[in-house]
Amino acid sequence: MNFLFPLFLLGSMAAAVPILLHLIRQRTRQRVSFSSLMFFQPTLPRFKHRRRLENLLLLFLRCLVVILLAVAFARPYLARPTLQKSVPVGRRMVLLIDTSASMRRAGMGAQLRQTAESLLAQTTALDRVAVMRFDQTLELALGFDEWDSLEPDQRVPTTLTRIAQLSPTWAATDLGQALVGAAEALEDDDIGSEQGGVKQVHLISDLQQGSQVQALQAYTWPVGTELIVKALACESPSNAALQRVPDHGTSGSTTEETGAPRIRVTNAATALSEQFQLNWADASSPGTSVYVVPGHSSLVNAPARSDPPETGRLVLTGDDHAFDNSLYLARPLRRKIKILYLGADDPNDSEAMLYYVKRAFQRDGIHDFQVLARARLDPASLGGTDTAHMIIVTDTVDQASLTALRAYVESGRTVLMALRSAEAGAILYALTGMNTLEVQEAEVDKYAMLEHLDIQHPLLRPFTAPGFGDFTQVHVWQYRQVSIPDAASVQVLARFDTDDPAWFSLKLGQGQLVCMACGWHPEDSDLALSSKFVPLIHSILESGGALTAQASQYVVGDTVPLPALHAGSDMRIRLPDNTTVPVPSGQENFAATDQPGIYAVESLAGRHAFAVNLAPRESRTAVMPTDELEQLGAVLKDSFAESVAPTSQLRQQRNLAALEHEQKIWRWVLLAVWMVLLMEIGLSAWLTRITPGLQGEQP
Amino acid sequence: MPRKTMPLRPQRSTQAARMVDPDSLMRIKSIELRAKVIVEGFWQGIHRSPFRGFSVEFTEYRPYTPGDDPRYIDWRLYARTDRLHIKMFEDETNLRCHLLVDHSRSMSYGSGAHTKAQYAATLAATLAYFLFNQGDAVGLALFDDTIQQYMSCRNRPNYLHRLMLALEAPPQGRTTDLGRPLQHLTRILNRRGLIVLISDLLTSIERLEWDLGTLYARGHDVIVFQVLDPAELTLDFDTPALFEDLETGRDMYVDPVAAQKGYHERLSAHLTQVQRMCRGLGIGYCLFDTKRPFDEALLNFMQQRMRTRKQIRRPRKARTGGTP
Repeated sequence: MNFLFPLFLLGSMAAAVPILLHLIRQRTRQRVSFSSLMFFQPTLPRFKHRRRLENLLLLFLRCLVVILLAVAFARPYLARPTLQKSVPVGRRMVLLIDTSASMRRAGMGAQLRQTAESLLAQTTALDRVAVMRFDQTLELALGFDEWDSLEPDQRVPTTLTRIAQLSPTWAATDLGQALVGAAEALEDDDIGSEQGGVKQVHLISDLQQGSQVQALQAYTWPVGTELIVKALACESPSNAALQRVPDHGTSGSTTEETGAPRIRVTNAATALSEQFQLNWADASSPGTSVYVVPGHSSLVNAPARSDPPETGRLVLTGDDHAFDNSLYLARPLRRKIKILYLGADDPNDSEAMLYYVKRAFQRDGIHDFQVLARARLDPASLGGTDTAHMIIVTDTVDQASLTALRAYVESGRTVLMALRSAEAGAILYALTGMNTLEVQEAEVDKYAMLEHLDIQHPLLRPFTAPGFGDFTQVHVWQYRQVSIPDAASVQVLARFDTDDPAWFSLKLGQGQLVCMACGWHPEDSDLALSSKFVPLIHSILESGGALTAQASQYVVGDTVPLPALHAGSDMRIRLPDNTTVPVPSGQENFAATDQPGIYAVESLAGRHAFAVNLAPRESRTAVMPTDELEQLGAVLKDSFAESVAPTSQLRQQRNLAALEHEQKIWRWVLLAVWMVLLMEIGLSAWLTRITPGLQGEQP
Repeated sequence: MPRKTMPLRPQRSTQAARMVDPDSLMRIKSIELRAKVIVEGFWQGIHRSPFRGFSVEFTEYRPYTPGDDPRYIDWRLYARTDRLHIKMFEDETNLRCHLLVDHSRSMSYGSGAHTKAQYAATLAATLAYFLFNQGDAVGLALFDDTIQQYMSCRNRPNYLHRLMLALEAPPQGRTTDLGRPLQHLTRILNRRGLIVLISDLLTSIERLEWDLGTLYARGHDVIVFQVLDPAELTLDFDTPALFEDLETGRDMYVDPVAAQKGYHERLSAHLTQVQRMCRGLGIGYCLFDTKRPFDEALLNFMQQRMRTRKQIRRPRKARTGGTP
């Protein structure tokens, strides 16, 4: 048995203490009852020396405890034949190479190759090396098996060739996931595990602050694996980036239409320059001058264009690195939303419900709403792409319209029904088929109010936030009393203060029918005049899936859902380099967004362009402190040089420490200490009990 | 009733042989039987007096005055002096003896086969048996810091048995306080009598002199028997230990070898103080260790009584003539 820290064995000399205590004994625990202590004066304890040791077994156990403790602190281990000094053990190394977009900066590639060369030059024939590259994903460039299969003199040149073939991509950096993958690769290397030796992950990266490291948080860094960081320094610290600020307005004039989208220009904290120029790539006129203090950002409008094209590219100039200086823009695809209003209202009559529906659906940035008023529903108009996204029914309709309406809602669409009168309840009977359902005019004393709103229901979700769920200002002057059968699967969304249902919804086929027991026009209630009406009616429309937005801006690596209007026709994707990629029939997403630029989905239905840009965080090129990795659990080496060329003594010591850590014999020794202590306690108690003379005396 | 008032002359040669070892006596379970054995053995060890039966003691003469009982005229004196004188006798009534026995926790200490409390109880029982058989009235008070049990002076059949039962009870008290019991007795004892205090006196004796003096001043004869264990007198321990005070429960680490000198000095000072106090008050005092035979205690008691009788402390109420 060997010891990792043999100096601790000196602690076994403390075994002399129990022996000394057995020789010198203090009889202070003997108790004598005496009639009175009035004639006594306290005296100091007196020690008694004995020449002969007593209770040898007890003494032996006590000495054994001390010796075992010293042995445990000395960290014993059993030497293995493979760890003998005569058998050298090589290292297992993973070269983890950053190929993210930030590595496109000038000088990074040369530094990377130089670092890799110096690292590989120090490998021996016993070492085993794997090369992995990472950006947002992790890929194996050269595995341990392939390294082993190469001739020893060909290993380093082949590896350097592979590394030279690695070129930076446009993707963002997920450093955490890459480190986890590299550490797992070392753990999964069976051959290396049998041989033992040091496990090292050599990270060669620019360590930009935009790297994601969250994956390390949920990962326990393997014991014995060292992380050696070689941060590549960039000679030019100035870097600025630009990013589009999304529009949230609902007005008709969006920044795309005016051709002057809002842009955020960010300057790096270490930047030396502060003045930049922003302009369209194909513009001939001078661009916008932007002044940004290092470490800050500034919002500017892109230079206005008289005839804004569907797509465009903004270019920022004035910094040292161009990889993140382009911003591609594509105008989002506008959608036409058709709402069918069944009723005979005058669109200009402010006392009618249609008047308010038309005003509730106004054109916004990506939607063109069209409210069509019809007296009756033509079955022939249903189906196809012209199908209305929602039908609003407020009055009685004929039987043919009823049949068409039922077919419409059962096909998965949404029908909003407002009971203008008790007679309109006939539509409810016809649609729901509930014969026991009764609709009659309610008697209202002055006005009724809404209460018991089920704001957890998806239709009322806009009112979930505090301050938006107050409906007390909505007065209902008259309404229809609807008696819903108990067995009906109706969800009541709100009730009047008379406990009659005010709003309720029920599933019909694949669609849903939303019914209001009163109209929103002023004759029935204040709903249309309140701020609740527009969110409510938009929420009902959105529940049918009509307002699903089609984004037009993505970042590299995103999966882009293909527009629905191209479904059913042959599609192809036109890439930024003007090549086309056919899209198989039935494919709903496009994932090969591996470079920034303008992509276009082309089919017989038309052309829809979308822009793919560099991830904004990739532009945060300031160097991340390596302490952050250490805080997340990675075992970091302080010095690269020290770790790549350890002395043989240090390596041997590290091997022994790893061996001792694997065996953990000290735990068994501590267990033995506990057992001996238990025996000592038991023996002491027994001796005290059987020896009356020792009562109260140290045995 | 014939009385045994005679001068006591114990035969020194046979005394030691007849005295019984207290350890042997203590093997007799019944305290009454123990007392009987001691008293009977004691009577066999002393000379019988030829003046047995006299119970009236002559004190003085006074001139005859008309009206006096002519039976008490001393005719011999008249023959010598040609004057009529009347003989005066001391008023000898039955003795009223109160036994005050310490029942504090310190009395439960005993280094040998018996404790101080057992010894004190046996001693009290012996005195009670002796006096009871003499026709005297005997009372009992058991005390610690207060009087735990009090039995007034009686000389009735079965009363002795009740006394013995009370003495057989083990000590129940805690601390010793002589002041309060003695002050209480001072208040309740109106008739003069003999008070025998049996205690280890292991307490402060600052007020003891005052309390005993008060009793004495009220006409009581007082005898103090101090009972101590031989270990208390010699401190015969050889190993250091935690000594626990039986009364207070206080612990103290004591090395007997180192503490012996100081202990003996303080104990001797205490005993000397008690002895000096008793002598000053004219009170009988005797120190017993629990190895000392009871016969000696009884003999000492009788000697103390004799000495007390010879002392003329003050004029007593005297009467002429009549059988005492």
